[in-house]
Amino acid sequence: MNLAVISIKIFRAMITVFLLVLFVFVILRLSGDPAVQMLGLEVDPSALEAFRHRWGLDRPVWQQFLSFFWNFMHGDFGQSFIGGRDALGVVLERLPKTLWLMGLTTIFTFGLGIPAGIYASLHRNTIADRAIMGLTVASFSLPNFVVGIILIMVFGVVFRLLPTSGSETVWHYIMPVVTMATADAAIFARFSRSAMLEVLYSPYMRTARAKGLMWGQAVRRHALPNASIPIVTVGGIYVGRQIAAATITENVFAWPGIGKLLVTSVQTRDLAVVQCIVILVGLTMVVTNLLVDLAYGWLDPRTRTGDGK
Amino acid sequence: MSEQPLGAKRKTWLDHLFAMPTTILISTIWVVFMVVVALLADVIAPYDFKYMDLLGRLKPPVWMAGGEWEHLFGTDHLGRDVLSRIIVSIRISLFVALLGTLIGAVLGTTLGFAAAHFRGRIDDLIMILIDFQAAVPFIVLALAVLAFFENSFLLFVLVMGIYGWERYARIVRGLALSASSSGYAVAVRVLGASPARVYLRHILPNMASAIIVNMTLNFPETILVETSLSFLGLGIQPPLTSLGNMVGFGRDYLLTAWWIVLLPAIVIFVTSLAFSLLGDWLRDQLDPTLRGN
Repeated sequence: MNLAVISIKIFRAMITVFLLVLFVFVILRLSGDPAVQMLGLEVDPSALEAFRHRWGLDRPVWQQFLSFFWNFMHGDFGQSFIGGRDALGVVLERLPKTLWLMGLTTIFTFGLGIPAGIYASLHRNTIADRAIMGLTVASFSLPNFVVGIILIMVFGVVFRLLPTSGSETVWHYIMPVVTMATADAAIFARFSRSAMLEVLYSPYMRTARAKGLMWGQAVRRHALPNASIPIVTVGGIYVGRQIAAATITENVFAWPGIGKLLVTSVQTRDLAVVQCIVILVGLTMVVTNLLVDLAYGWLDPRTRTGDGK
Repeated sequence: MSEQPLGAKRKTWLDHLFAMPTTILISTIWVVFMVVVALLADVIAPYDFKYMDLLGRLKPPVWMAGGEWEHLFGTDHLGRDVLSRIIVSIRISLFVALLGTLIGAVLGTTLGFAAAHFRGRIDDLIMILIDFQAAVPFIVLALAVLAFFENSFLLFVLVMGIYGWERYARIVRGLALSASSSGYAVAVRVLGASPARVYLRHILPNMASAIIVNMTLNFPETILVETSLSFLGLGIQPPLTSLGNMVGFGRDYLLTAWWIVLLPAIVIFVTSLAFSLLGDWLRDQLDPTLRGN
């Protein structure tokens, strides 16, 4: 991948960020007077006036947008209803809990999904393969909240083995992590299976066998490294799904992370916090997709030559 | 299709039915069942789904001790008949998913055609919008819209309609770009047909199978997004009910009345599974690029 391609990708990423801010700006403007929206009707008029001045609402629309953008770029998302604190601070405070959840889920997802997919590909069309693929289809159709509720029912209510809400001990992590991992493990199982099948029947595998490598050696030395490259491309989708899954799962288990904060803020219409989370999620996705693109070019030398297509 | 050997009997729809794999047959039966339930909800629901009977709260289903035939699936925390609520919820959840899927298909197809027809700046703009939509998790955007505006049924359906538009747009744009340079499109254009006629009467029928397959795959996903948002209490609002709503409100009664939660959860799972299996199967049947692999 050459410099021109990279700069185009960075440019597109910046456009996405711009669109995201525009999106928040437009829905904020469309939904009524932003000052009233953010502060509520009961607040006294001088506070509304101060708010309008601070966010430049007494100026033309394009200037408003620019100052809106400017404030965002400086981490100023406005004030949360929660004690009138800085919205960014309120959000960042919740970040570690969500990151822990996602990190553990990722280990679990990879450890479960990728070996299952590789196993299925090596035993194509056997009962094991069909069972694994059947399970993945089923787990796609199980929404997070249903998995979570069923886990609570079995392990929290019937057997009373695990705590059902909060995040104080190690035991609290088990059910949310399993809930988040079920759907994503299915993605990785399917993807690594198809990636493996693509390389297992390629000419270089035949060459490796012809020169005398054992099947197992050929798989380890040639098939696995080649099949692992496309898995990187799922990275962007994976992070997006993790964020969506965390939003639901945290609410099932009363997990004090960003997902719970987002839903609570939507319910109480704490708009400063909502827009802060939306922008941060968008930034995360943009950076992830950019890194995936760069990593792909770096890992697969074939995409580096030529025009980078 | 036309190269059947002489004397071969043309396949009737019954032959096609028996040629289906068992899982697909079961899925079809379930989907038809769900559609019938949704259409006849008023007729088959034994009670008004809003009717409360505070003296008959939390009655178990008929097969458990204390269950009565009056309430096949028991009653909920306000004494409402769970079976009636499930039936009405199926209607509302399927209706929202259907509307959402149709809106998404129309929006995505239109933008896909627009990108392929105008090319240049407009194409770039639509591609940027597609990238944007694909980059940000939909549920977060949906929550943002629902936070800023008062939630109403209409707004919620529109939000569901936006879900997945970018996939139609991407497919339609690609197919339209390759179709408009193909022989039949050029021929019709030379005959003097307007662009609208070329796209709607000639190119659209040729890509109908791709759009229909995407709709069948989008439909169960829309059900999952709708039920998830309703579960959070941010989707369908009471007094209306949805399958996600029932799970959401019933979760406080897991200890004493699991049926309020488990029965609608099973319906969500089986329905979206049936639609996904059908969608996958349809894609394998209709998508010529996958055939023969």
